[in-house]
Amino acid sequence: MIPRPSIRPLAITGAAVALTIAGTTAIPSAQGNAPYVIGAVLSESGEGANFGQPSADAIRRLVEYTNSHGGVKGHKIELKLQDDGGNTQQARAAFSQLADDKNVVGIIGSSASPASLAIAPVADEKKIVDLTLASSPRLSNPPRPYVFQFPVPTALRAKALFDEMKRRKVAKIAVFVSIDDYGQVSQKILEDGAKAAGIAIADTERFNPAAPNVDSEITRAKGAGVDAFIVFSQDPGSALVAKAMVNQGVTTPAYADSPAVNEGFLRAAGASSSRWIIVTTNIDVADLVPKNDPSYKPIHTLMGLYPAKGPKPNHFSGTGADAYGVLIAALAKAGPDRVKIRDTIETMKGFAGTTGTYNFSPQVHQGVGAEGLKLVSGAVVTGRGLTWKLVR
Amino acid sequence: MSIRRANAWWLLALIPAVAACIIRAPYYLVVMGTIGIDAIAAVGLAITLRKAGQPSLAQTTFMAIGAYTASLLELNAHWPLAAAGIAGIAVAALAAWIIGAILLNLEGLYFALGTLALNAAAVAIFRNTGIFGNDAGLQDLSPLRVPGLSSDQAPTVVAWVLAALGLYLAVRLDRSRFGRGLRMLRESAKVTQSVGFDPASLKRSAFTLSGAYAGAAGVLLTAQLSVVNPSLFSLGNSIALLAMVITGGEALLGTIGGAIVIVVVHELSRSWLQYAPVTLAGGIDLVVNGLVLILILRFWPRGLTSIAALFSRRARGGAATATVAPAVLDGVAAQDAKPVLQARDIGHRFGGVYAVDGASLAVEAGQVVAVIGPNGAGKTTLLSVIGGYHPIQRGEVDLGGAPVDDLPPFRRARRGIAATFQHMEVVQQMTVWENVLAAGTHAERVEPALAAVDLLGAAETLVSDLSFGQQRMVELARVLARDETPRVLLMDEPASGLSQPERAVLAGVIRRFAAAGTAVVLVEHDVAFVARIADRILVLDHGVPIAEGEPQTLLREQVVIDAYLGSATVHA
Amino acid sequence: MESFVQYLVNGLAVGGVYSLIAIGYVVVFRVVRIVNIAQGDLLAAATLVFLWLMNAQAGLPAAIAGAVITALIASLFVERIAVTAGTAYDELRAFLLTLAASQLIQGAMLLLFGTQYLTMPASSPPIIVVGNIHVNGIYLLVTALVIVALIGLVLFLERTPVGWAMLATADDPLAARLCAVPIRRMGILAFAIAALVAGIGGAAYGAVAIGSWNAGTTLSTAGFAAAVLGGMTSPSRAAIGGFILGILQALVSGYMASYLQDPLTFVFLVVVLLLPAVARGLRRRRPRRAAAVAA
Repeated sequence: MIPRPSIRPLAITGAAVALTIAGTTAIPSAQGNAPYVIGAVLSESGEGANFGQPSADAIRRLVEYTNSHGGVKGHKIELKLQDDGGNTQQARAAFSQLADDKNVVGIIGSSASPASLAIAPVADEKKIVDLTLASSPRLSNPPRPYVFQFPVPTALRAKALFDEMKRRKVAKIAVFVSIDDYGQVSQKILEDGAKAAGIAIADTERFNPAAPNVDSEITRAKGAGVDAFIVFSQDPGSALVAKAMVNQGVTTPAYADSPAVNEGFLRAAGASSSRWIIVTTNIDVADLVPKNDPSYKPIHTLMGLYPAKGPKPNHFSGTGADAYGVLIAALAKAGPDRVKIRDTIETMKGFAGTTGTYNFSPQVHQGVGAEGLKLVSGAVVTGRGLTWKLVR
Repeated sequence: MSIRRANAWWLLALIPAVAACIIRAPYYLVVMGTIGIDAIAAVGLAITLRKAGQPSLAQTTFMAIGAYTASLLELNAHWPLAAAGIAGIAVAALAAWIIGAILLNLEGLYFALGTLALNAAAVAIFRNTGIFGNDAGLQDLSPLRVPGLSSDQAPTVVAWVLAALGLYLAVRLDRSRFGRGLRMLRESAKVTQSVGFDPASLKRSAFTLSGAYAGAAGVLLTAQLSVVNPSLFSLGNSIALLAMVITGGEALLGTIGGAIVIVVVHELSRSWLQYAPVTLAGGIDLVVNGLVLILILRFWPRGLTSIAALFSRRARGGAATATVAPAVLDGVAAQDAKPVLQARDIGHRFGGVYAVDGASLAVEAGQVVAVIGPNGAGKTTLLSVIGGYHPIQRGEVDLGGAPVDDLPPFRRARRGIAATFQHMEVVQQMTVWENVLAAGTHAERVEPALAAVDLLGAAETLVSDLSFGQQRMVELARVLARDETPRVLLMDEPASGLSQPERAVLAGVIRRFAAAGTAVVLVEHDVAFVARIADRILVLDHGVPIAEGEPQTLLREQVVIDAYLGSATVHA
Repeated sequence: MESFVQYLVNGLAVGGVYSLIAIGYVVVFRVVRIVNIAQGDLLAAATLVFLWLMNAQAGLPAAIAGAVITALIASLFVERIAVTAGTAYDELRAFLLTLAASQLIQGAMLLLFGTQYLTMPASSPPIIVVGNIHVNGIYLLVTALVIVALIGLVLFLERTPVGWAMLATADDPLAARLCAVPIRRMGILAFAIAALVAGIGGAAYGAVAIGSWNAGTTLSTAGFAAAVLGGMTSPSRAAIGGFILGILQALVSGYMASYLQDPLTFVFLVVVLLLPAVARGLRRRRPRRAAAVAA
């Protein structure tokens, strides 16, 4: 692999999302540089495919983009991306394989919490950074030396929703969570969050998002006489709840976490989607992000890598893109040295990603806060049919 | 035994253990460890699938039980890993014993589906139960440490040492009486019972044992990963274990080969798929897995064993042909009751039709009683009722003066009722030697028994390779080799399909039993043969006894002639 | 009481879909003695194609036709893989082959449609309100259609010579051959019928639920539980089994907890599988004879 001679110094910092990093100067170098190899272990099949696949897709496109813009310091990026099928054992084997490869400078993954929890100790042992896209709080609390976490903490997303509920005088809610790690962790977080917000939970439904419908759960929940529903579920859980609410004539407002922001949900919920308020990150409402927002540029660079027709990047793509961006930025600064890359990420401040601005420190390995969160709602817009509109 | 060669192939499984002490690359160690762990679980599965014929899709469930037990003991009660591991294996075996008692009532495919449901239910329960850590499982388990080995080497080395040990135990077991019972059971529950095995208990023991293997694999898995979560024990992984056993074929060493093939294929496809031109590598992964399974199942049904068979076939040729004295039967212990076997007023219906209606039979020690009659007279049914293979509907059967009608066939067999069957019941996939040895526990009785039926030269031959008549002789030798001379011998058309010389051997064996004090009941069509050998004859027609007496007088009676000529009006 | 009725109604439409899957199992099992565990995947594939066509504005007839054709292709593919397998007649091997086929179908769906799920194009379904009970009109329509399809199929299988010939093949292949029943063709016909029900079921499922590449796993097990509930041999009883299971699941969700739905379905399945064995055990136990006890 021969890197093309660099023409545009600015672009050489690599990934689109790394553009805003200060101090990373590109040194155009001679031909024949060995590529920098980065690893990724993501769930492209199996249960976590719904969120692993968009992340993997975004990272592949970004690698291509980086290389077509001269690579990093004259080195091309080579991606070794492996599917773990949502399986702990495979994730572990894939991670070991990548960690053994002396050329791999850092590894992104995994997408699911159970697999990430199994990988984390290995990252520490082998002294190679693991940039996890999974959301379990246990991954960064307490911080592990080599593990950095990218999604916005579930507790912050929940808090954004509870704040909105308080503004709307919601006093009593029904909680719907999926029966997987994400739903189970969320249940606890929602209970704590509701308590802090002074909101009563009248009913909790733990449901299987792969079930044909959740009509009976809604029948029961509506019997509890609540002011609002809140859904933290993997796909297509929110769509199931929305359909069941329509079926049962429930017009109570509903709140949901980011997995709900997709075309399928809008189609399933139809006009009732205007009663839903969903917390997500900027990228899902890219059109509504102001130009002066730090995430504007990374978002639109990423969007530009996708064909005009076809699926658009979502917040899972965004989280993957941010992890890639941070790794590339650290690589550009520290060079291909695993320990130096770790140290660089740990002190990285003000990295503008699609999700918000990342700040890491020895105490905080979960880098992004609530500032990039947006509340959106479904709306019928003339000429465009159902789409998302910004609530707050 | 001179014929039995000691088989040390299991030692091959130690090679990876030694290799793992030298290899340093962690990835290869992880993959090797995974193979070793899967191999242990797969060998356990092979015992219950290949040997007992029970296809379980719940092997990962017992892995999970072992893994969670060990992990919880370690995390909550701070047990050391070794103690927690042993407890994990014990609990997994216990769970298999309990679950086996329920699910083993299902046969074949239904058993597979029952275990599939068990697996799915178990995963759902582990995912939703707090003490098991829900979907995220349990973390921060202490890794396995062995002095002198790195943290990557230790679990791999231990896994392969245990795999070798597990293979050794399984091979030993396969050669034992228990193992022969299992293999018999896979082909025929009837013959298994006829030599005194309780099929239910055999199946359950095999299932419990396979649960213990799974438990060990589960414990090792947690020791390797330092975490345990439900995704490790999914149905997909159970199917992978099944694929390993099928790829391996009949031989247990093949199962280890199967584990290597399946894991390596999976790892290669996973590593290579990163270069797939489409972004949806996950779909290709599934397609590749499906295709590999289909190719193996469709085009390589005997699996890796077919390779091993190329070598062992050749070895089998040179079996010993030394002259051995034919069997001498021990005398039957003195009997208190005068007729050893007494069946009174036996009635048996299939649907609305009586196959046997009011037949009675009393046989004394050393006596040969023949039951004759036209086709459909109920002869075989009568023998089956006496042997216990048909549950008794009407009438009574006494053995040595004690009632046996509530006893299952294997208990009657243990009390001294031996049998040979109309549709010959020999185990096709076992050697002659193994078939005969299955009857008892004394290996030294096998050769004399084979000598008595002229089969000594064929001891190491697979029964399926023998002629029909020779297979009948195997059945006969099986009765001769019993630990104790049977008190009653039920023979259903033993002469059919035999050549004249073979008939002479048969007659000699029957006389020898009679001389030793066995009460013989013989169902036979060949009236000349019967006349030569029987002390008394009972004639059945349409299930009803029409005549009884000594051969010379009875065979001249009009009713008997009529029955054989088919003038069915006779109902004396 | 009101919620009980509501739960019953909730379970109806899904129960109807389970019935269709169950019939697919039974027909194939009766004719070729194979438990085709890919039956749910046929339906899931048909669902995706149906929804994709609906969202592409292809119209309802084209969408249904697409669903049926998809199921037909997939089903005949399974037939080719599993039925002609090997020389030996081996139920377990055939079962595993259908499991492999199920993985292949899921992989193909993932490649074709990605991980994004599909639903019917947004529209407001007609909701019928009786007192406090809400019923989605589509549910009733689907239930009615499913029942019509079921009755037609059961009549075909149990009341026509072709149906008899098919079912007889399984009971005694030799006798069937002697009666000049073309066995292989009957097997293909069985898989075609299984595909037809999967296609119709896919359209029905698409109308009331959500289509995704891996929905087949859940559907296969549920449909199989329903088939076993009906004894695995009778199409009409399998159909009833499907409705019972659908309603049972709705009741479990309503009165117990949603997350118990799956484990309870499976436990229920084991219990149903065991019933014949238990009954056999009871029959075998007969009172000891009086004479023996006296002696």
